[in-house]
Order: sequence, then C-alpha cells, then structure tokens
Amino acid sequence: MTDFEPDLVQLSFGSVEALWEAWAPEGDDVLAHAAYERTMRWAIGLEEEGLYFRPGGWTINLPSTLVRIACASAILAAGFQIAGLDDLGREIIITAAGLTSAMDLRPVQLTRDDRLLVESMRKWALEDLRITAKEVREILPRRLRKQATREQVADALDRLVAAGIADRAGSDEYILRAAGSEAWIRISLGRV
Amino acid sequence: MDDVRPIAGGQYQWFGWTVHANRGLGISIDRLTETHEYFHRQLDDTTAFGGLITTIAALAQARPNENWSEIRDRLQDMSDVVQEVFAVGMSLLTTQRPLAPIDGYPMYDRYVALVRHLVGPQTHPWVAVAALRAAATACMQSSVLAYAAEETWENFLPTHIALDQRPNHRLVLLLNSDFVRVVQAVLVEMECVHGHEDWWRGFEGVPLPPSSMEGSAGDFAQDLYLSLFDAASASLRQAGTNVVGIDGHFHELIVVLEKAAEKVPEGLVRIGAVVETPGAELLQNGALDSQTIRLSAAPKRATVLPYGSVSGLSGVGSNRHGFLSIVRPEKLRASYELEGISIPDAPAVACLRSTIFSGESRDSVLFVLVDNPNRLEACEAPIFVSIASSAAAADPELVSMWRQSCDSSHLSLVMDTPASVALRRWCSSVGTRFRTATESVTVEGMNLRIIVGRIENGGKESELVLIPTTEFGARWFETAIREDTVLASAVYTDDELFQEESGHLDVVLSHLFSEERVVGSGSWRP
Repeated sequence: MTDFEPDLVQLSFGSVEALWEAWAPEGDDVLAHAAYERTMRWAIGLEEEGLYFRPGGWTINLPSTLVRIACASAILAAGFQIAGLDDLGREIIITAAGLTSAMDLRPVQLTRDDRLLVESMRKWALEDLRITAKEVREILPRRLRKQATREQVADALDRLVAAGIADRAGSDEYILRAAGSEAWIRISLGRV
Repeated sequence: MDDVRPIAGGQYQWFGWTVHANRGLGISIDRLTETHEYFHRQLDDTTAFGGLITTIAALAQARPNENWSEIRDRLQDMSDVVQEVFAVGMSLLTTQRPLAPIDGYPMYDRYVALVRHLVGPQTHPWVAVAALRAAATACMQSSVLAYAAEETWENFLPTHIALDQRPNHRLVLLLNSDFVRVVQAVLVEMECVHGHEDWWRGFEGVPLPPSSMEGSAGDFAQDLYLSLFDAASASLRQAGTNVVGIDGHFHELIVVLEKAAEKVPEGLVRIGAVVETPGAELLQNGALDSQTIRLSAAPKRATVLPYGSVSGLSGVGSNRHGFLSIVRPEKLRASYELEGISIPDAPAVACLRSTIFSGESRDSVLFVLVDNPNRLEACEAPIFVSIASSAAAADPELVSMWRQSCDSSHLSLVMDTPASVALRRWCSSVGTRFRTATESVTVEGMNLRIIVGRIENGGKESELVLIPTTEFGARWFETAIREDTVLASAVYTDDELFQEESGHLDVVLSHLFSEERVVGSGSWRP
C-alpha cells in the first residue's frame, strides 16, 4: 500500500475503437486508423515485437492520466498522418499529447464586478503601469471599495491575469493591458 | 477488474513464428492461427520490402545495442497494414472460411473489411487468393532494396524512403484504383471457363478444395496470379509509382545481404530466404524451419546442481532411468528462472534432467551438470541421451563424445533448428533414406504432433530424430515429402516405427513435453 493511489480507469479495445468511430474522418482513413491504433498500443504498453494473431480484444486498468495522454497521442498521430506528417517520432507525438493533457484550457469566467474593476482602472489610465492590489482598491468607486477587501481585489486581478487582460509583475504587482492588446490565449500548467 | 491482455494465439517475428499450444480453442482455430503467421513469413520471404525488413531484423538480433531494432520497427510500421490484410485474407481463404469477420477476433475486423474492398466481397476463393496475393506482392515490390543497396548503412534512414515506396501507402493507392473492378471482370471470365469444374464448385464446407491448386488447376491459378500481379502493377503505375517484377528484387537482396554480413563478421543468421536455400523453393520459409511452440506444462523454475550432489535420475522401480540432455546454456537461461550454481560458459552443456515434484504438482526442473560420459558408467539405471540440434551445431566435439558413449537405441536428436533444411541435406547423400512416422500427442490438454525417424545408409542407422510440431507442421511435412524431389525419393513412412521405438519414445517425449518450455524448429532463437 502506498500513500499515492493512482486514479485507475478501464480502457478496452472496444472503447478505443469507439473513440476512433467518434473522431474518425468521414470514409475512414486506412493510414490514419493504423497510426491511431499503433500509437495507442505503444502509449499504453501493449506494443510487442512483430505481428500477432490473437483472440478477443483487450481490457487494461491504467491511471487516468495515462489514458488521457494515450488517447490524445493516438488522435494526434492520426491527425499528423492525415496532415501528411508520416515520419514524426512517437516520442514527439506523446510528448505533445502529454503537454496538451497537462494544460488547463478552461475559459476564465469574469464577474460583473471584475469588468467594473477593468473599467475603473482604464478610467484612471492605469494601463501598462505596475500597481498593487491595495492601490487598485483605492481607485475603486466608493460602493465597490466598501464591498471588497484587498484580498478580494487581488483575487479579481488574478482572474484578469488568467483572462489575459492583465499580467503579473512580481509577487504583489499587476500591469493592466491596454484595450485591444489582451493575450489571445493563456496557458496554465495544472497537476496531472 | 484485472487486466485482460491477449496471450494465446500466434506471433510472427521476422524469422519465424511462435504459437501457444492451446487448451481447448480447437484445431480449426489452431490451423487458422498458424496459417495466418505462415503467410506473414511468406510475404516477407518473397518480396523486396520483406527482404529488407528481415535483413534489418537479423542485424537487430546480431547487434542489439545498435539502432537496428528501431529501424526494423519503423519499416514494420510502413508495411503492417499490408501484412495483416494479406495474412488475414489468405488464412481465411485457405482454411475454408468466408471473407467475413472472425468470431472472437474483433481486432481483425477492419482487415477483413479491407480485403473485401480490395478483391470484392463475394469473389470466388480461387480468384480471391490470386488477387490478394497479387495485390499484397505488388505493394511490397517497391524499389526499397535498390535504395538500401546504394546507400551506406550509416546514411540509410527509413524516413528517406519515399511515401509511394512504402507498402501501406501503396495499398491505399491500390484500394483507390480500379483494381477491384479488374478482379470482378476476371471473376466473370474465370467462371465462364472453369465454372463447370468440380474444383471450382467445391463441396459442402470446402469452397476451395485442394484439387483447385493441383495439376492443371494449379497451373491456371499461377497464371491467374501472374496476370493479376500485372493488373495490380498497372494500377499502381497509373497512380504514379513503380513496381519491381516478382523476382526482380533478388539481385539487390543479395547486395543488401552482403552489406549486412559485413556488419556481422561472425555470421549473420537469417533462415529461409531464397538466396540461402537455393533449389528448395517448397521448403523455404516452411513450418518446419520457422516454428516455435510454447508449452505450458513445464515449471518456470529450474535448479542447476553439480554432479554428485544429487542423483539426477528420474522414475522409480523398473522405470528408473537417467535422461541426459545436451543443450546450449542460453536456451536454459531463456527458458527458466534459474537457481543453484552458474551454468558453465560453454557452447553447450550436458546435464541429467528431471522434474522435482511438490506433492502432485511439478515444482521445478532439475539439471545436474555432467562433464564426462565416464561419470555415468557405474550408473545402474539406463541412460537416455537427448541432443538438441542447436547444441550439436554449437559444440560438435561435446556431442561427438556423448554419441560415442551411448547406444543409438538410447540416443535421440531433438530438432530445435530448421528441420526440413537439415533433412534435405541429409537425404541428398546417395543411398540415404529417412524412415519416418508421425503421431498425434496430447499433453495436459495440448494437442501436438511428433515426427520421428531414423536416417539409414548402407546398413547404418542414425540416432532417433524427433521433430516436435503442430498439426499445421505435420501437414506441411506430408506435402514436402510428396512434392520435394529430394525428399520424395528418400523419405518413406513406416507405421511400425512408433511401436518399435515405444520404450525410447515414452522416456524422451515425457521429458520433452513436461520439462521443455519451448520446442519446435525455430525455438533455438532466444
């Protein structure tokens, strides 16, 4: 018994085929399907030397992270095959899939008060200046200032950073981006 | 739920194949499995791309610390769909099954679908066999060997092989071509010409009778294959690529083999290619040269002890005997989890072999090393000496010493190296005959065949030769001794042989099937 029990999920030949059916381009692509299956087997450790003929499918219990990476790798391999990239190494595909699986790409939900905060900062022409949460709280309209503690303002600024509207500049300082120059995408690496 | 990974069935690894002696799947599935693996080997052994991959596989085996295995696997990725389409389709057609998904084998459904797309879903099996063979061969007959022959090994990179020279890509070109329409037109024509023949109509459960591949029907089948190969080649050329003729790759294959041999001065081991067994077309790549059978009765553990520490004898009462096995140390290391003393670093070793029981169950295999036949002179129990053919090749002096010490009635040679190649060599001597018989053997639910025989010449008789095999291998042997000119004149069947040798065979077979973990003509490989 270890302190760390991985979150196991069951992956089977049937579920892998169902994923292919859901993802596959219309008309099936022989080479892409082969790349998908080959990469899947390699990623989950079912690849063996040579070719074989065996009854049944397979069912295997794996950590959920590995299953996510394997599925992403297999789909990436099929996609690269369709794109004509025949000779990409499996290691490269799996590394790319591993990074993709580790990225948190959930959209940031800004509240109405967060947007009021942005408006207030722009009204005070604070774009491109280093500013602390405490200083930002000071420029808020009285109503908002009364409702928000310094920590809540810091949390709101963190959401603006996550949304690509502001950047962090040190441990307690932020820089508001000018309108129109917000980050297109912000990637954060989460625990996998 | 525990992991469920497939372990039964067969596996092809470039030089031959391995089958698991199964318990209850049935002879029909055994036959389908082994036929499938055989067709992988046939395609590799008769084509340009297959010649390259098996050469690289031989280099990977000889030089495990270099990057040959990566190159081999990359080449396999370029040809695996063609290999599976060919092996699935040909094994179905030649074992009298329809071109339809195989019950219980869902991983192969998509290959069945590709075969049906390639040759047509309702095509007569006689035409479908020729069409599938022609298509797969055309896909594998790319100019890849010419590239490998011209390039230095240091600069040889699979990524430099053009896409249209890779078999899987060529298969896609063929699937998108008019090849299937050509096959359908040929089907109509062939039905007009041969539709009245018994072999075309087949009979209940046998849509492709053996007679459809024999005599004039066999000649027609070969002509049809050649004509459909031309059609497949034309389709591929129309799609913008080239096709090497059916035998057009041999020159480059010889060049590539010579280049590969330069990398391995001690000798590159590669069994079965046409260039290595000239004149033996029927036998090359056959079941009796390539087969490994995994047995499940023997314990996984084995103990090695020095002579004198324990008796090493087997059996009790009148059945008391010594079974002395001469084997290569690497085979022991590959077969068992070894305990006890180290095995000497020698090409081959002699050891008394027996089974250690724990109650009713087999606990482990015991090997008692014996360095000299003199050690056993005082032994009151009879000694049976059994030589693995790979050990005879590895250490002829040791084997000769034991041969001289033992009466031929207690001496056996168990073939774990290419058997039909050896048999053909022995039978090539003037006046030599091979007296043989084949029996079915069931060991703990495993159904196997054992071919036995003695080589006779001028009143002299060899040790008892044993070839452990499967039903597929036994049928292969029957065909070989009928159709190969050398074997046909030298081999004769004697049904009395098993009865005559029953005492000897009881001892050897019980040790063989209950103490060996792998047997067969390809089992010398680690």
